[in-house]
Amino acid sequence: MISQLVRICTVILTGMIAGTLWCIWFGFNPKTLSLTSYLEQQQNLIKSFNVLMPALGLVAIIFTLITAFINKERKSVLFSLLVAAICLICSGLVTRFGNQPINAVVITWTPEHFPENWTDVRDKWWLLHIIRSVTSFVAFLLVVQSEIRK
Amino acid sequence: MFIETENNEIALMTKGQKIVRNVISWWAVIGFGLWVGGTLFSMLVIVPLWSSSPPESVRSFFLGTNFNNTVLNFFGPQWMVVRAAPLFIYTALSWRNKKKWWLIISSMSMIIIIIFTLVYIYPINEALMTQAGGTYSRDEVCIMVYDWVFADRVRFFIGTIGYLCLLRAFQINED
Repeated sequence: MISQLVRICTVILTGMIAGTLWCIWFGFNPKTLSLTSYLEQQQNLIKSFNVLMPALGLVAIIFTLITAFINKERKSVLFSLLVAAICLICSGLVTRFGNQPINAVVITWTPEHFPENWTDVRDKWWLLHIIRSVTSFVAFLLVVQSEIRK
Repeated sequence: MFIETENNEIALMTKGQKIVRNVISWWAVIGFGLWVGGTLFSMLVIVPLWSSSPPESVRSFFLGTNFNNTVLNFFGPQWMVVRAAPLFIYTALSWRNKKKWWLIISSMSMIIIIIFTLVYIYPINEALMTQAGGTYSRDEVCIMVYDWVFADRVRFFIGTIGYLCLLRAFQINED
């Protein structure tokens, strides 16, 4: 029962992370936004998710590792889940050392005070976002696949 | 490969059919899971941007951004089909085994979401998003915003129940 609960939580958590990141990737590309709209959207994103998403990611990594431990006898499932955990860790590292430093700068911008190269900063953040979206999606695919293999 | 049916009959399932069923089930869970995560993001980050102080926030957001086009890249009708089709196929393929009822509930929730979206939410989208409030009065825009936000939460609640039922079905070992 606990094993089932942990497994279902792992699927839900990784799905939430992948879904959130993919929704931003496909639905909210900031390249077409004016500076004012970009600032409004990005700063709201930072305020809402700068703590929530890394926390969710950490919990997802822990649950994935616990699920891997539960399935330690099944080598292929164990391998899939460990790779999934590595992908989630990669997403976390990209967020921590790539996106969050940029967030810390962007949150201080105003429509009156912003750097001239703001589009370069925006594009760098976007590239890092695509990388973490892909790694988190691969993690989700692997977690779901491990459920099929169980 | 043999599977036990609801009536304890043994039905023959070829290896090919099993692969198809697994791929469909995988696709259904991925699609539904992405929708739940994406909707959560939309509820927490995007909706407050235009619903915070209507009608001004509605007009500035929908006239000042390309939202009406880009949002379709994730929530558009084509993706609704991509998400729903594997769930319905998975339900049909599992019709004679013990996960049937979980999948029926999940499919019903998806059908309710689709009908609710097409019949109730899309007409509001037309006035609120496509026309950015148009010529509607302040009070009318405020009511539409309230109705849309409430409907979105109802839709998310129903969808979450459907997703949990799908995951429950997904966990039942039918072999």
